[in-house]
Amino acid sequence: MGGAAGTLASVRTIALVGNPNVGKTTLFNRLSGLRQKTSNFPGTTQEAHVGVLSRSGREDAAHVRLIDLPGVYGLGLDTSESRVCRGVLEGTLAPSGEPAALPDAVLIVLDATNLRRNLELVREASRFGRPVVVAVNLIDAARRQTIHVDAELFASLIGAPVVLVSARTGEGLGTLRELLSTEDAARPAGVGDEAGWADDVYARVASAREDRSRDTITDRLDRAFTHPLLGLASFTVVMTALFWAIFRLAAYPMDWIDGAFGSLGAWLTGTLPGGLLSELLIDGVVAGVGATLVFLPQIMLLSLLITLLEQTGYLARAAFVIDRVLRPFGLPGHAFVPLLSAHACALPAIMSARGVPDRRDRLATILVIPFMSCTARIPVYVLLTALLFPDRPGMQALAFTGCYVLGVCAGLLSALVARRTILRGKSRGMALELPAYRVPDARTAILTTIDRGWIFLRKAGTVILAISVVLWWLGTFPKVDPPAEATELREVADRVEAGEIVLLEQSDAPLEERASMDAEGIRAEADAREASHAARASFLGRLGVFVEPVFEPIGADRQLTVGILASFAAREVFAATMAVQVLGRDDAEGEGTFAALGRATRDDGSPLFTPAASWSMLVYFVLAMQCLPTLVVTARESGGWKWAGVQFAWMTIVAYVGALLAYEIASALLGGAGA
Amino acid sequence: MAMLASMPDSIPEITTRRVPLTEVSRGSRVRVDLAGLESDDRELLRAMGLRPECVVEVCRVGEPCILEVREGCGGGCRIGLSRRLADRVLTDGTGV
Repeated sequence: MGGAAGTLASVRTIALVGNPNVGKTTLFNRLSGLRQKTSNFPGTTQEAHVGVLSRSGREDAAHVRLIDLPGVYGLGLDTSESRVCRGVLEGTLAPSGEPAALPDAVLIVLDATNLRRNLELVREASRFGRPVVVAVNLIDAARRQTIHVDAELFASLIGAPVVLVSARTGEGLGTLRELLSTEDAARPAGVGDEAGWADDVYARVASAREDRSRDTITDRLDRAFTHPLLGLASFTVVMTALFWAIFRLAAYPMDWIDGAFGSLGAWLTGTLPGGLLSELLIDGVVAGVGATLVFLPQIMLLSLLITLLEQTGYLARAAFVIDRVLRPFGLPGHAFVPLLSAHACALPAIMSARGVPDRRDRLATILVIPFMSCTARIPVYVLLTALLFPDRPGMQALAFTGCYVLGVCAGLLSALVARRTILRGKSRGMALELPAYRVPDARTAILTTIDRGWIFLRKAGTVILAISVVLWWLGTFPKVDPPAEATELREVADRVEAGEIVLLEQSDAPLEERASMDAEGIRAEADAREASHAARASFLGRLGVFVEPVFEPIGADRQLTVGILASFAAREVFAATMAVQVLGRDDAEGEGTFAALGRATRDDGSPLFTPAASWSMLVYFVLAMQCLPTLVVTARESGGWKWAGVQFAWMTIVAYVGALLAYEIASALLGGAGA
Repeated sequence: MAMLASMPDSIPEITTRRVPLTEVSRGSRVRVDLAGLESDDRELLRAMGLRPECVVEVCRVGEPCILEVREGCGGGCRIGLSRRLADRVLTDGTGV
């Protein structure tokens, strides 16, 4: 191994092992920079970060590949993280797409401020027989705590190289890079198996003042952040600030992305010749990619802020505060970050449920995450609350907030049901290390954020793009001839433009200009009727007629049924689908659209959005599983389609029953006017 | 019975006195016994530095119970335990 760079055979693989909170990921980021990618370990939910050792000015370092393994307290524990580490160190497991092979060396990252505990990991890792390099990280923090570590003595005792480093300041990283890019790692001959080995080594290589006083600032902060009232209050303040920042700051890039894709679509419409290919490109691909990318700023900002917050050490304290709230429903405190981030998007939320250690707890968390109101529901909430309470913004806001509360309550109660039935079992009590309060490392947070962004684009973008194309196809085919009324209207428009017909409308505009304007208006009406006719005749429209009896009890007619069906893949298309069907155009956010939808009628002439039907639809959209990418990610994270199926079935039943109750209650309370 | 009767009165009280962590006052330093925990929890806490019979400082009691572990960690790591776990961690209760 080793030797000349450039050939595949000379690539050296080094696995990074360490306890949680030892700065392993910061060190990995420092060593590999942007030259890293994230994948999974097959058959697990554990992420695999693979990077290439970077050395400024040296090209030959590209032959060292680093695998950042999950943080573990012990390699023998019965946890997913420990199993992954054991598999990699035994050469039986490798990141997806890479051949499983024994690593050429193991870089054991230790925390100089907690060296005694970390030495157990040195002993455990040494048993795998691979050459070892030890990096004693956080050495700057250790010095501040008057802890001294003798690296030379340490190296001579274990028989392997030891480097004192600070990933944060860069101290010792040059030496570490040199060691990793050469073959100086050694099988640690001096690591003993006897019980007192770690105590003995610690006593000889580390010294600290025994009269160190207690950290009263940490004590006070801990007591405040975990206090039943003060802790909850500070949690509320932190989370409000977090979400305010996400919604406020992400709005700008979201608008830019939305505008850019709108312009691209308009440009393509004007440039490309008409035809199916253009329609597919504009309505399928551009619209689909645009709809995905528009959520990217929120997801990246959420990831950035959560990572920064995590590094401060606060989140570990907050987990205990929220544990008190979630525990009666069978969820652990670990679930709070996933549940919180689900209000932006369920996809990264489900992925972040990896942080929940117990399998049952993790599954329960994943199952109920989609009940939280994500941003994709907002357009639907806006539309339906506006229809329910026209010109009453106060009531609209109240109903809007109620939707969020309903989602949270349904999620918690569903978790309770799951934990009492299919996920029955004793919950484990929570034990968390409370890391020292630290100033967050922006570099690591930015790299993590970029990584999250790529994962979202790769995983969700491709699925949503495929869905958009399928939806476009279902809504476009079969092609039908324009209705006779549309053809007639176009003929009238031609004659108006030619001056053969003059519309009897009062206008101050000159006669020629009026003719042109009138013709344009008539053609727009013809387009609208043609689009409405095509929507009814499409596969999606026909499906609406076929499935209508299923949704009739909750107040839906053919058109609302199509809206529900189209929303299965992505719920934000509801408003646009309803607008296309009812008005024949998809500018659901245009001025007057809400009023027009409010006046829209069913085939029998009765109002489409009765108050009872609107309440029913609102409840249905709060509770229903209408996001195919979420189901895909649930299947991946839970290890199979079984749990995705359970999630879909349960949420659909709850949504249907909830909507039925809402419809019946609203009909009874509002009488004939409501129904 | 005869053997018990012959033992001094004070010995059983000292050696068998075990106080749950949840009943220890804040600021006290106690020796912990993890035998009452389930094996998974015991192994995890042991790997986190909370070794059997090690001395910890109780920084907060209640929910959560916060311990500072110097002896088992080397520097001074803090571990938070939910009440459910802390109830099962027994201490010598006398302070060290």
